Amino acid sequence: MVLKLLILIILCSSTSLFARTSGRSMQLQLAQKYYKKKMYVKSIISLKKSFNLKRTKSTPTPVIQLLALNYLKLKKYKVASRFFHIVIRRSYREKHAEVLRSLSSGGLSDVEVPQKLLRIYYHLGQIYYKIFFKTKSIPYYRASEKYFKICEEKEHLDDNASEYIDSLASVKTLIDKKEFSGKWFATLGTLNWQEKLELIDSTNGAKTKLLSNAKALCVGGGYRYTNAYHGIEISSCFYSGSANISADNAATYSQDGVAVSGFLIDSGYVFKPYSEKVAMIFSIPLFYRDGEYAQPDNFSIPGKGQLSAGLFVKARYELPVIDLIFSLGNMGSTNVLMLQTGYTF
Amino acid sequence: MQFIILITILFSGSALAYPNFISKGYHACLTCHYNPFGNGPLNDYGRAVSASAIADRLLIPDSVTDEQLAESSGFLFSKPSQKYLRPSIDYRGMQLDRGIDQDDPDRRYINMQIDLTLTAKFGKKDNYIATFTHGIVPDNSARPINGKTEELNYTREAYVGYRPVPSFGIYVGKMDKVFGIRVPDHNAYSRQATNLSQYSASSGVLLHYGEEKFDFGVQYFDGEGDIEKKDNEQTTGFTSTFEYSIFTDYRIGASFLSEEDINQNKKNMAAFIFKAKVGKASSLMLETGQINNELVSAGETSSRYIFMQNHLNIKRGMNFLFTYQYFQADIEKESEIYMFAPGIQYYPWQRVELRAEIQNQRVVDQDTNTPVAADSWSFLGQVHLWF
Repeated sequence: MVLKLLILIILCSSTSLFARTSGRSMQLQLAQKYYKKKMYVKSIISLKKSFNLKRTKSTPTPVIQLLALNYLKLKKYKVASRFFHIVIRRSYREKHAEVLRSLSSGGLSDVEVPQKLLRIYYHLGQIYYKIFFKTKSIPYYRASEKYFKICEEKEHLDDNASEYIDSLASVKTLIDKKEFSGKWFATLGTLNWQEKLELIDSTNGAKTKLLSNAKALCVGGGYRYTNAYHGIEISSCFYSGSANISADNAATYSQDGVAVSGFLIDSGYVFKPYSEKVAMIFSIPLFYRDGEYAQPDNFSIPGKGQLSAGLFVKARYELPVIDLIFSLGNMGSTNVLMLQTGYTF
Repeated sequence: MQFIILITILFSGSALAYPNFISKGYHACLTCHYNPFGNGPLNDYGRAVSASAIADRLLIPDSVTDEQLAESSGFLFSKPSQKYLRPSIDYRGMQLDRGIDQDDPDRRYINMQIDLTLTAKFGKKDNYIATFTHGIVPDNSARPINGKTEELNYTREAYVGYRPVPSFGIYVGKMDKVFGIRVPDHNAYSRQATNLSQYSASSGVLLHYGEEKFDFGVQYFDGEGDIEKKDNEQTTGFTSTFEYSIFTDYRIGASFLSEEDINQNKKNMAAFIFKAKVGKASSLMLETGQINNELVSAGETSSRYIFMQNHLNIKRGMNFLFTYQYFQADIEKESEIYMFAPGIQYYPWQRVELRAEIQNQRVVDQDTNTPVAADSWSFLGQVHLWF
C-alpha cells in the first residue's frame, strides 16, 4: 500500500513537473517565434508568463539570451547589455576572462572563441556603439571598440566590425576636437610701432607734433585655452629697443637711438576657421612704453611713458616645431606691427 | 586686334594659379600651367581644379556636382570641343585708395591687366605647346614710357615649348623670367626692385627639369626693344631657380639672376624661397633676397627685401591674407620700409577672384636730418576675371 502510494506521488509530481516544464518550453518556443516575426514586445510578454524575469537566478540561459535580443531590437540597450552579460557569466565566464586577458596582452590568435560568444560580443559592440553615439561617453566608446576588435580579429562579421571601428574613431576624433585644453607658450619676436607725441614749450605752452618710430626685440609668453575650433588666449611680451623721433621739421627736434622699453599684454578670441593648425586672433592689447626722449631746456614731452589700449588682429601658423605669429594693431595714436615665433609647451 | 578677340571668343582657355596653392598640395606649377614656372594660361587640368576645388560654390545648387563644374570650366562655361586650341581672356583691375586715414584720400581705379591668349597644344601628351598673349593697358591705367602715357598694346607672352619627356622641357620665345616666388602682387618689393613686374617678360630660352620633389630652371633672356619696358627694364642676362621639397608640402629654393640693361647698368640678385602648406588648406610663403646694382651713374648699391605672404583658409574659396614686406633700398643706409597688409581673398565662383586689403606702410629712417614720416594707410580692392 505504501509502495502504491509512493508510486502515485512520484507519478503525480513528475506529471506536474513535466506539465510545467512542457508549458515553459512551449512559451519559450512561442517567444522565439514572436522574435523571428519581429514582434519583440509580444516575445517578452510571452516569456514573462512562464519565467521570473526579475530574479533571473533560476531563469534558463536561453530565455535570458532571447530577452537580451528582444531588448536590443527594442533599442533598450542598457537592459539588453545586462542580459547579455548574464549569459556570458553563466556560460562563458572563463573563456571571456581569457579573451579579455589575451586582447589586452596583444592578440587573440591563440584563443579559440566559440561562435555563440562571438555573436554576443558583436551585439555588445553594437549596443555600446549606440549608447556612445547618444551619450558621447568615452567608456562606451572603449567598450564598443573592444568588442568589435575581438570580432574583427576572430573574423566574425569582420567587415562590419571594421566599419563600426572606423565610425567610432571618426566620432571620437570629433569629440576630442571639441574638448578644450590649456597650453602655455613662449614667444620671441620683433615689435615695430609708430606713435604721436608732443613737444611742449613750457614758456608759452606752444605744442609741436612729434612722430616716433621704434623697433624692439620682444620676449614673452602666454596661455591658450582652446579646442580645435576656437578658444581664448592671453599673451604678453616685454621688449627693449630703440626709436627715432622728430618734428615735421627735423631741425626743430630730432633724436635717434632713443632707448625704449615696455610691455604688451593682450587677450582675445582665437578662431580656427578650417584647420586647428592655423588661427586668427582678435584681441585687445594693453601697450605700455617708456622712451628716454631728450627734453630740451624749457621743453617737455608728456606721455613718454604711457599705456594705451586698442585692437589687434593676429594670424598664427603652427609649423612642426614652432609657431609663426603675425600681428597688426592700432591703439589710438599708435600702430604696432609684430612678427613672432612661438613655442607651445 | 579684332582678329585676336574673335579667335579668343571662338575657343576657350584661362589664366590663374598662385604659388600659395601649395596649400592644396600643388608643388609644381606645371601641374596646372603650360609654363613650368607658372603664370600665363592654365591647362585643362588647372582649369578643372580651379572650378572644382579652388573656387567656392556661392549660390550654386547642391544638385550641381564639382565634376559638372569641372566639365564646364572651358571657355563660356563649356567643355572644350576640340583638343588643340585653348583661348582665354584675363582681366585684373584694382581700386587703389591711398591715404585712407587722411581727409582727402587719393582714389584711383587701375586696369592692371587685359590679356587675350591663344594656346595651341599638340602631341599625345600635349608635349608641344605654343602660346601667344596680347596685353592691353588702357591709357588711364598705363604708366609713362619715355615721357608718354598712352594705351599700351603689346605682346605679353609668345613662346613655343617642347617636352620630350615629362621631366624635361625647352621653351623658346617671350616669357616671364624665372626668379623667386611668382606672386601676382606686381607692386611687391620682391617684384618691383627685382625688375620682375608684369612687364618683365623677355624673349629667350628656358630649360626646365622637374621631378616630383624638385624643379630647376635656367633661362637666357633679352628684353631689349620691348615697347612696354622702361630703359632699366630692357635687360639681357641669365636667371635660374631651384626648388626642392624637403618634406611633404614644404619647399625651399634659391634663385639667381644677372642682367644688364641697355644703358650698361648691371644687376645681380639672389633670393631664398620657402613655401609650406599649413593645416588643411593654408599656406606660408617667404622670399628674401639681395639685389646688387652696379649703376653707371651712381656706382654700386645693394638692396634687401623680404616678402612674406600667408593665406589662412577660412572656407572653400576664401582666405585671410597676411602680407608682410620689408625693403631696404640701400643696405649702407639705415632707411627701411615695413609693410603689413591684412586682407581677404575670395573666389565666389570659378573665373572670379576678389581681394581686399588694408596696407600699412612705415618708413623707418635713422637719419636725424630726415623727419619721421607718418604711417601711410591704403586700401587695395582687386577684381580678377578669367574666361
